[in-house]
Amino acid sequence: MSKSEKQLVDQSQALDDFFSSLMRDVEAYAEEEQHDSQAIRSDDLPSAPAVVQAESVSPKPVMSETTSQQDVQLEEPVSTKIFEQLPPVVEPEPEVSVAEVEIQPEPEPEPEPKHEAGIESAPEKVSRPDWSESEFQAMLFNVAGLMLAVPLVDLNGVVEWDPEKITEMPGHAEFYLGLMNHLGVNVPVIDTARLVLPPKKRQELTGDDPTARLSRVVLIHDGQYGLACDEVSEVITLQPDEVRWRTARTQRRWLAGTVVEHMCALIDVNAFADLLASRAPVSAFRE
Amino acid sequence: MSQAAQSANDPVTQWVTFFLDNEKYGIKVMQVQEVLRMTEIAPVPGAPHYVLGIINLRGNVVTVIDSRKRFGLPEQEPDDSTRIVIIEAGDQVVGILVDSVAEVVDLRANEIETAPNVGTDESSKYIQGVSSQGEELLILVDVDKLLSDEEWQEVASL
Repeated sequence: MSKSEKQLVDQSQALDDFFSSLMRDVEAYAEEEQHDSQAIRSDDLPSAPAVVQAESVSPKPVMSETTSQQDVQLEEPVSTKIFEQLPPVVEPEPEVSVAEVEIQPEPEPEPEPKHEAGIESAPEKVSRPDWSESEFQAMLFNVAGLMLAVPLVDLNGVVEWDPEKITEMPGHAEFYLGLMNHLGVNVPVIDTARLVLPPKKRQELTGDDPTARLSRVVLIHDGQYGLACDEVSEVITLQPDEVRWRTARTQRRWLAGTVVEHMCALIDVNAFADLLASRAPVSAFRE
Repeated sequence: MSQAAQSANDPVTQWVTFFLDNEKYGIKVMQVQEVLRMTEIAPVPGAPHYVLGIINLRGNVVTVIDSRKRFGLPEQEPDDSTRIVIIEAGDQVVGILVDSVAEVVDLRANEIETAPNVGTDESSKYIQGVSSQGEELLILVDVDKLLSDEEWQEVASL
């Protein structure tokens, strides 16, 4: 008993840690993680730069003309870096990444004033999903202890998890459980926990039968993807101001925000589906 | 006659189906030369990991590929139903080791769906599509893409 109790404590500790890291993410602290995540992000994540470019406003006009593909990919780390450095104010030049320094020495002054002007309000507005403007409902579901919420407008259904109905595909990522036939359509089913949870927590999920804990599949994005979960919980009604919305600084793009009152992470379904479709590296979900 | 008309815009292809780790796979019948019972496979020193070894097929040396390894499936000892399917792929003749061979099925083009790609694993490129067979799903494999161009060359030079 005491062993399992200890395990429980450890687990909830790990989850608390993860949730607070989600919150930190949303709240745009997390400076200590800055280095790792930038290292990962600078060479992959094909579609991320587009989003951030839109959010961070300033580099767009200049960079889109002067920079090559490669530089565009580097843009995100650069702009987020500028973001973080803003509180200390005005001297991003020395630390801005090599690519930008080399290619466009002139536009540098430009980003700063605009960022400063917009830092409080603009980025948040831009990055929020449509449904977030007024009261909305969301369904809570549990993946290995982490509570996730999917807005009802983006929810297409919930079906039983039935391993018999899943066809495993060869040579796929570990979080991809296989194809499920749902009303004649083959839906890829994802083990959400193994996709989004950090490595430490994920290790506990590997056992003899890592899928034994699953009970339901949540269908999202016009039923295009199924998110396998441990259990489905209640539906809650949320006011926009109850949610800590993500900012432009947010690393996890699938995370629309967190709801402290329910200790849950709100999913941005479109971003989540885009990440899956773009075959973004798994780190894009977890970092 | 209506059948003929239907087949014109909905061509039928035939697929040899086989089992690997309880899932059913299909490869185009035109690419299958023959199916052999398990025979002695001579390991080749220094061969890439996806090559099990070579067999002597009526005087010709044929490389046998470990399809379980290629598909990321757990290894399994050969048994009575294990077969070596001799296929033409990548401009050469190779064998693939499978758990068992089932049957030949006819598939109309509209019965074949593309398999959604999820995750970053490049090895899933060889999945040409899937087809629902009642309750189960048949996974259609493009054997030409079973190995990359470099890997085919590697096999050819064994």
